[in-house]
Amino acid sequence: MPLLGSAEAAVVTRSDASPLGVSSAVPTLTFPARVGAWIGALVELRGVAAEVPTASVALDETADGRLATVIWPDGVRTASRLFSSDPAMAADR
Amino acid sequence: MREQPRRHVATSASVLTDRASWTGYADRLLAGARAYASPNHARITPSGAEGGYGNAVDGLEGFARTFLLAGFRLMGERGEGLGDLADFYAEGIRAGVDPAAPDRWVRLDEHPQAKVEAASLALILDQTRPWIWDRLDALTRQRVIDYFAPVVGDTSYPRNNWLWFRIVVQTFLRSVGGPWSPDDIAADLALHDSFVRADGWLADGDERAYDHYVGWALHLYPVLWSRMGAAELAAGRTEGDVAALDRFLQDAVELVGADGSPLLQGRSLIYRFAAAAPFWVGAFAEVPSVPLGLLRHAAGAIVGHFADHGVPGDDGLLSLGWHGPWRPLAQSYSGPASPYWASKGLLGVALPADHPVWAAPEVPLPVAQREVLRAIAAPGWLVSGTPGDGIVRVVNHGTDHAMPGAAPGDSPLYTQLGYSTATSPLLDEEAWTTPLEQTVALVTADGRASHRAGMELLGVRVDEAPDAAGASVGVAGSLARTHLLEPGPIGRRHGSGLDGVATPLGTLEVHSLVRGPWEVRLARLASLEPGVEASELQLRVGGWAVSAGQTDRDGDAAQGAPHAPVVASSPPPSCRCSAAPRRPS
Repeated sequence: MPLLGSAEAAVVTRSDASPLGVSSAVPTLTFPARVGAWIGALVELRGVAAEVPTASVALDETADGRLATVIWPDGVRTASRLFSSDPAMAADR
Repeated sequence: MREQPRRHVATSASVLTDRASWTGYADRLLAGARAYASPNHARITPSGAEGGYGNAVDGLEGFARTFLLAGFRLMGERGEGLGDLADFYAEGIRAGVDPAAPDRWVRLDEHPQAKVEAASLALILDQTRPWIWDRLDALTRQRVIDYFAPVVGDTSYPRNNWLWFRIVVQTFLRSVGGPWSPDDIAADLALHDSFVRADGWLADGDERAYDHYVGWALHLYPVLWSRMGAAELAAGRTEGDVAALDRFLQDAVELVGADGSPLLQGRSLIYRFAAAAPFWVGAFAEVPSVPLGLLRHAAGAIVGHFADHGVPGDDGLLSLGWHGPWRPLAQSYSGPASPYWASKGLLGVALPADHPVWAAPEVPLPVAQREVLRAIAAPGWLVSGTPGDGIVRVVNHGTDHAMPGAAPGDSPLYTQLGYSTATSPLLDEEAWTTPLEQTVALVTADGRASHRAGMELLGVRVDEAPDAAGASVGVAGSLARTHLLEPGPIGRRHGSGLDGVATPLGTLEVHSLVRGPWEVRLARLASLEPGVEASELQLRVGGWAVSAGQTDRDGDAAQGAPHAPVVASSPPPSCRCSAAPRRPS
């Protein structure tokens, strides 16, 4: 069972769409749209060789606020509280 | 998406350090442009397709924007040894304001672009007074005053950085006994102050327009203006302007890639190394928090980045493009001399050889030394820089060149979730109608993607590591009433997304957790508009747009000139966008 949704991966290419090169490629993930469901993705931009990254995220909405626990590709584990989606409640903006 | 690992360690080989390398580069640009001067020197019109405002405006731009650079050279040498340069431009001024001259300048009451160029003319006439203005004949001086005079009381200036064009010109007029209006200047300063945001940032207008104009215009002019004998007009505000600049530069210096590349974000990227200007302004103002050696290095890295990539071209000219020519990067009205606003990035040559900036010990860019993780409140950005590859990334939840709650199209230059020093947003026509890279978008069955402009910034912060063994994480989020857009007629583009008829689809919240090269992106479709069915939609996450087969565009594509490799030894970065793996059940 996917952690934060199941998705189809694709790469979209464009020609002459960037000042940096004649061909551009954009990786995409396409999820079903479901109201109230969370989806998650790891997005990476790096310039040095590395293994294909793996990561995981767990979202606890029962805590005070929404706590996202991430195990990053380098194995580090962090826990971060997401901002409230009620703009009036969002702190530290 | 998996790509063969490639190496893209971003370092600049050509950081300009000693003053001679800077003046040499400036003189090369001046010489390249000078070859395209009209017989009386009043217009400089480099080769290339005519701009959207016509040939006469192109020629005025060429004069005014290279006059900036010529003026910086004269200032830095205190006029010594540059008599030919001063004479060349003085002759151009005489013809420019001569109504009978065939190459006279387009007047301010003939075309609004002349208001932009007038500021450069006035600034340099002021700062080079002993070597040009004082040597002009009385008739020419009066004609210059008459040329600038329509600025007084002109209320048609756009509500953005143009306010400084009116201030600078009127301040010069005041200094030479011309007409000016203290009310105009007071109103413009008040407008500037209305653009002030947290931590030394300013918006370039009423919208959430955060881009390079913050540095190369909204911080540049207050400091240079303070040198125009405007102490009375400034009424003690300069100290505050410098304090804001000082704070801004602490963020700005972390936005430069280790290879010197500025962020590819925001409009007017054809001005290229104008992005170096705020660092020189910091040196002028002698800001307290960023060392002179870092300011000089940052500016040198930026100009060096473009020099490394063949700028200017073999013809000595700045083309409409980034590294090489690429016309879509320019606005429709841009002409062949428009890129010469880049001159601002060479402001440092106005600092004389005995200025301490030239002797200050070199200080490397932050991203060359350590991981960078920073939250910038005003634009709603998380900044992440990695020393291993020198790339600086920005995750964006607060900038869209729109007003909160509005529903224009997404501008690819402003509204995407991410920008970096190693990638460019897609900028073809489709990019303005169908957001793709660095988005979370609802996609209809027929392939239309939703826009998020007008989104609400929920917040941006860095959770610092609790201890040495922990890790800091950037956290940001935004809430968008996503909408489809049926674009209206496309007019002139000034950075904003397209106008048109918006059809709301639903409310989407997006959150980013950022560390190093990674972003964990979380999204939730909070609700759908009445009548919109989830079954008819998909939710698409787009990653970074990576350019393959990077080339320098060694000729204007429109002219069909050939392209040639320029970064063969520095291939593009890799980008992956993968679903989070399954949690063990």
